Amino acid sequence: MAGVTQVRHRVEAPIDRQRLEPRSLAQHRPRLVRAAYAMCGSREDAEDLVQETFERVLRRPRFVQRDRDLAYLLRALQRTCGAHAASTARRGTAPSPPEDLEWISDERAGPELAMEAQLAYAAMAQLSDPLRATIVAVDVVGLSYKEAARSLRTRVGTVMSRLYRAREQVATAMGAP
Amino acid sequence: MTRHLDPRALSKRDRALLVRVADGTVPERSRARAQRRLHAIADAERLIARQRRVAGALAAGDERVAAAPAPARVLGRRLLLRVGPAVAALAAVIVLVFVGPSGEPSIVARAADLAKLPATQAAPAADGRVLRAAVGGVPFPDWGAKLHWKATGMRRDELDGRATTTVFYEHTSHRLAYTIVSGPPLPRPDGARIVRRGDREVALYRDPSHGGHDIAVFERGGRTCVVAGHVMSISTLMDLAGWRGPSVRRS
Repeated sequence: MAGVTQVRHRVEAPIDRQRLEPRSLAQHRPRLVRAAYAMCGSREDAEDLVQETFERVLRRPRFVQRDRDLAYLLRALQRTCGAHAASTARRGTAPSPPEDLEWISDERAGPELAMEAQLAYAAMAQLSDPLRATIVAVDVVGLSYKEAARSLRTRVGTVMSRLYRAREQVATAMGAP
Repeated sequence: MTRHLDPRALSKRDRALLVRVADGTVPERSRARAQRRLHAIADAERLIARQRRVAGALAAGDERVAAAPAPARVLGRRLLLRVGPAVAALAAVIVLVFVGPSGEPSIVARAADLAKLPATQAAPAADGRVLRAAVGGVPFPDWGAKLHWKATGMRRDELDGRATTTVFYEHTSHRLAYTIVSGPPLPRPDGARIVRRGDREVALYRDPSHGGHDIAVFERGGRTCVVAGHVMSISTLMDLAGWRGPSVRRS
């Protein structure tokens, strides 16, 4: 429109918040890939989902409270996974066959612990969605109970109760005494 | 008489308690009550062990391995296949963490080794939230009041021309050494797991030659700090490493 000047406002972070930048996202990528793997069961999909999540998040400026970026990203990843699962179900794609899980654990962790990790991830695939989301948030991503509760939009007590049940079921599947 | 509950009939509160005990996150003020409650849960120890086994297995993932480009992962697997998993794992730890580029153990590794040595001086006195000992203006924490790790002794050494001061702390039967290395920050040990505590990055690794000592390396006030020793849970080490004292004193 003639005579109207478009004013571009610089987007500044509120004082108690930080802007999510590609660099800060990159440092969380490995943990999010493992979380995505636990949710979708395929490494390739997991990497795609994390990439897609980052693209969505970076599409516009996002400000999160300090130290809450990981919880925020996990919630964004869960939304992406949910959308992906819905579209996969619509397309009627068959679930991926079990794949090589060697990458999931640290080689320096030793062969026994690596095997344990593989068993645990395989067992997590059998959990219900709420239990899996909880164990992913706490044990895979490393959120505190409180952060996990915030991320999953539930109570801390519920997180701990679900975490107990999730670990119990995984332990049984792993053959723990 | 103690009443034993069926583990299948655990209340939500008991499940939360077992999770907290397994993770080592029972608040100090609630420990006595938690202990009493645990006595009432049949098979509590076994249930806690199961919780820990799963949490430990899922923590075996490592950021660097997951993030490494494909050739690095393939190389790692080939190494595993060729020399055997146990040898490869041990070799990786030794090469990446303990040995520097020159083949000598790194200063950080030797600073962690100081945890094996005895104290040569009395513990410094407490002065508010810190002790009356500092390196380059970075004081040692007083963990006695809040975290119940009591300073029991101190020693001073020199590693590659860098002065180090180590304060030893004890809690129940566990002992920790907190070493601050003078001079500019040292490179972070390769191969260590990087964990964030607030805005502080802590490099964590385990030294098998210490009988399983856990080691945390981080920076405070521009100095490298190394906390090494035996802890019940890695979260304890993280809590200690994440301790924030008053701002650094510059004399």
